[in-house]
Amino acid sequence: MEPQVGGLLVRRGGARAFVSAEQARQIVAEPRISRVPGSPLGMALVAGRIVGVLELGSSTGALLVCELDGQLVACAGLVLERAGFFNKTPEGVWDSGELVPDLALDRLVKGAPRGEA
Amino acid sequence: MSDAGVLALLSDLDETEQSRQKADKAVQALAQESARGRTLFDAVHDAARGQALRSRELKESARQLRDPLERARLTALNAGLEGARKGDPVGKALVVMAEELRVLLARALDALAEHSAALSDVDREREQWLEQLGAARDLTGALFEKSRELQVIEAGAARALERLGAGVRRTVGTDPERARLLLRAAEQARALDESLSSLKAGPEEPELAAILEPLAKKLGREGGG
Repeated sequence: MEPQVGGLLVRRGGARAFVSAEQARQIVAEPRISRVPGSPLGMALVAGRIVGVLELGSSTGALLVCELDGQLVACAGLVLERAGFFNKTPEGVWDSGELVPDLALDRLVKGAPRGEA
Repeated sequence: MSDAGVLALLSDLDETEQSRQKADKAVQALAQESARGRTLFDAVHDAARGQALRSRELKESARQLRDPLERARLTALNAGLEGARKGDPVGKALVVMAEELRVLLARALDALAEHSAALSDVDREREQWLEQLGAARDLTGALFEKSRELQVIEAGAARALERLGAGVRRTVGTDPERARLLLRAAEQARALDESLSSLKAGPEEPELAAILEPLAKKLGREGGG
């Protein structure tokens, strides 16, 4: 039997993705995001802290704040579907007979285009 | 000018005057109706503008409803995430409750979105009506202006007819109304003469014919002028 894991299902564009509850810290209403020239991340003030923002799509009105290597990174442009427990596989989780891959936040941060200086 | 010519001229004058009077009434009615139409258009326009204002208020209240519902949805997601972090079975109840709440809030948000879309549709339709109403109002205004122009033209026609009547009076040497009466009396006398003649010619009433014959002659002389 596959182990269960808690987390959040999201949608990026047309594709669904899974973010584990260890990585997903908090969901907040989307604040103003400032562009940072030369950086792949924008910046936003979340609960009194400056947090880097990775823009993964057009605004949905919410930010998903995640923890990546001890640092907080917020993801904008994700449609947040639901939280719950899911059957874990090495690639992601099963939901309603569909394999939902992990969001792979680290790869997204490294692959994000840099803002113009 | 012959009697028949004068009679025809007077008859034409008479007919023209009657037509002018009818036209005058029609033009007045047109002016009144177009003015009434314009008032009605204005009332409908004002009512539609009032409804537009009400619609804006409804949209604003829908927006005010949407914001807290959206925040509550995020809170439900956060609660579910917290339950998921605690793991099964400790966080299970929280996850279930949060999911239930999230589904209800999502339905409320969908219903609100439909409500706002319906309001926008109504707004769009009303703007189209207002556009058409404006065009109809302009048309009624143009009709009103035309009726005013027709009234001026009709007044000119009345003056022209009056001058024509005066011309006829000078031409026939008498008042047109008097001449008309005389000519009509002559016509009637001729008709009576013909009737009396036919009576006189009848075989069964010789006595009556003898009485009527001098009368018919007298009338015929006077009527024929």
